[in-house]
Amino acid sequence: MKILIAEDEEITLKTLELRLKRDGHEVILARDGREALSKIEEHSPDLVISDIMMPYVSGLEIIAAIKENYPDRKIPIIILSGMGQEDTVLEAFQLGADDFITKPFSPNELTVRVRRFDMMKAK
Amino acid sequence: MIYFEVVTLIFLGIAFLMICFIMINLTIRKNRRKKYAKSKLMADLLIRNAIFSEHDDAVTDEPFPITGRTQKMLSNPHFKRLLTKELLAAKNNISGVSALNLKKLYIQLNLDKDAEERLRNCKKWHIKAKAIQELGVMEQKEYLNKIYRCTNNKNELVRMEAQTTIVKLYGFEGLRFLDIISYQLTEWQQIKLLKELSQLPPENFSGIEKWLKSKNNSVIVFALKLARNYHRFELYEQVVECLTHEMENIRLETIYTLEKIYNADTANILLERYEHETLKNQKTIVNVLQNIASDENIPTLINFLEQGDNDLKRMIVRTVANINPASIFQLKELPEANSHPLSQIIKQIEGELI
Repeated sequence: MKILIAEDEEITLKTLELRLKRDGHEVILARDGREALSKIEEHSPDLVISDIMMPYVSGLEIIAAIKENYPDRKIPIIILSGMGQEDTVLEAFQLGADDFITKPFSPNELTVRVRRFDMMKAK
Repeated sequence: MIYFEVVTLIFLGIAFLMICFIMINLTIRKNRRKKYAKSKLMADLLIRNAIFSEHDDAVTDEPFPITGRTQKMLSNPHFKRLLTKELLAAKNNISGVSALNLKKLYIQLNLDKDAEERLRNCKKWHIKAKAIQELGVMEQKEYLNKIYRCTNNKNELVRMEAQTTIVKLYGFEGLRFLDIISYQLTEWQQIKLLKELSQLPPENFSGIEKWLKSKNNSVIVFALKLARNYHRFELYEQVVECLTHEMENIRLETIYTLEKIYNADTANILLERYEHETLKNQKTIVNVLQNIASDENIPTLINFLEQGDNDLKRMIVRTVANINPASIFQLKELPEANSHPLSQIIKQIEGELI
C-alpha cells in the first residue's frame, strides 16, 4: 500500500516510516501540511496518516482538502492526536477521518490499524 | 600620495583580516554542523534499534549492542545531551514495548544516573527542572526520594516540575507532597496537577481531610478543588468548616465545592453565611443557589434585595425566578417593585423567562 505520512516531529515521522516500510508499504513523507497536500496530489496515496497540529496547514485542513478534492477516490485518513484532544478528534471524524491514533502510540498498534485498511482495499 | 597608500594598505589589511575571520568562522560552523549531523545520525540509529529491536513483543534482559565508537561518543557531553533529547522526544510519542525498550536503553547508557547527578549537584534551576522532567518522562520511580525533596524547592519552576512528576509517576498517592509544602501552589500549577490527575482512573484517595486543614492556604484551595472534582460527599462537614476561613478566596472555593456536594441543608447554610460575606462571595452564593435552593429559601433571598449593588440585585431576582418562575409575581408585589432599579430588573428577568 502507498502511505503518506504527514508529521512535523522528526522522531515520530521516522518511527512511522521505518515501521511501515518494515511492514512492506511504500512510504511518502511530508514534514508539514502544505507539503502533504502537494504530495497527495503528486503520489495519490492509498492511505494518509496525518498529525493534527502541523505548521502552515493543519491535519483538519488536510482532511477537508482530501474530501473536497478527491470525492471519488475515498482515500482513508488516520489522524494522530495528542492526549486530551478529544474535541479535535471529534471534529476530524466529522470532517471525514476514518480512524485515529493517540500519542504516545505503539508501533504494533499502528501496524494492526494500517493492516485493517490494507484488507479493506484488497476487498 | 603616501597618505593615500597608507590608507589603502590599512583598508586592504582590514579586508584581509575580515575575510580570514569569515572563512575561519564558516569552517568552524561547517565542522560543527558536520559533527552535529554525525551525532544525530548515531543517536537516531541507537533509538531506531531500540524501537525496532528484534523482540517486538516483549522486553528482554539482553542489553542493546553498543559499538565502541558509540561508547566513545558517550563521553562527549554534547552527544549525551542530544541523545537524551531525542530519547525523550521518542518516549513522549511512543508507547508499548517500544517505549519500554527506550527506557531500557536510557538506563543501559546510564543516562538516569546523569540526570540524578544534575539534580543533586547542579545549582542552576533550569538544569534541575529539566533533570526532574527527564526522570519523569523515563518513568524512573527509583529516584522518588530525590524528586520528592524538590517538591518544596525554593525555586518555583523546580518545585512545579517535581510536583507534576511525582503525580505523573505515582498518581493520587503522589499528592502526599501536599502534607509538607510550605510554598504556595500557584493557580497554574493547580491546573497542571488537576489535568495530570484527570488522566488517571478516579480512586478514593485519602488525604483531602488533612489538606483542608493545612497551614498552607493554597493547599486548602487545592483540596477543595479535589473534593469538588471527585464529588467527595463524605467530606461535607469538613468543607462546610472552611466557610468561616479568614481568607476570602478559600471561602469562595468552599462555596463552589458545596455546590457539587450539597445536601438538603446547604442552601440554608449558605444563606446564613451570606451577610458575613464580601460582595464577590455574595454574588457567588446567589449564583450557586440557583442550582441548589428550593421554594422555602425564596423569602430570605427576597430580603437580601434591600442591600447590594444593581448587579447583585439582578442576580438575586434571576435566582428567585429560576427557583420558581411563579415567584416573579411575589417580587412584583414588593413596595419597591415599581421604582428604579427593581422595576427594570424584574422586567429584564421576566423577558429571560419567556
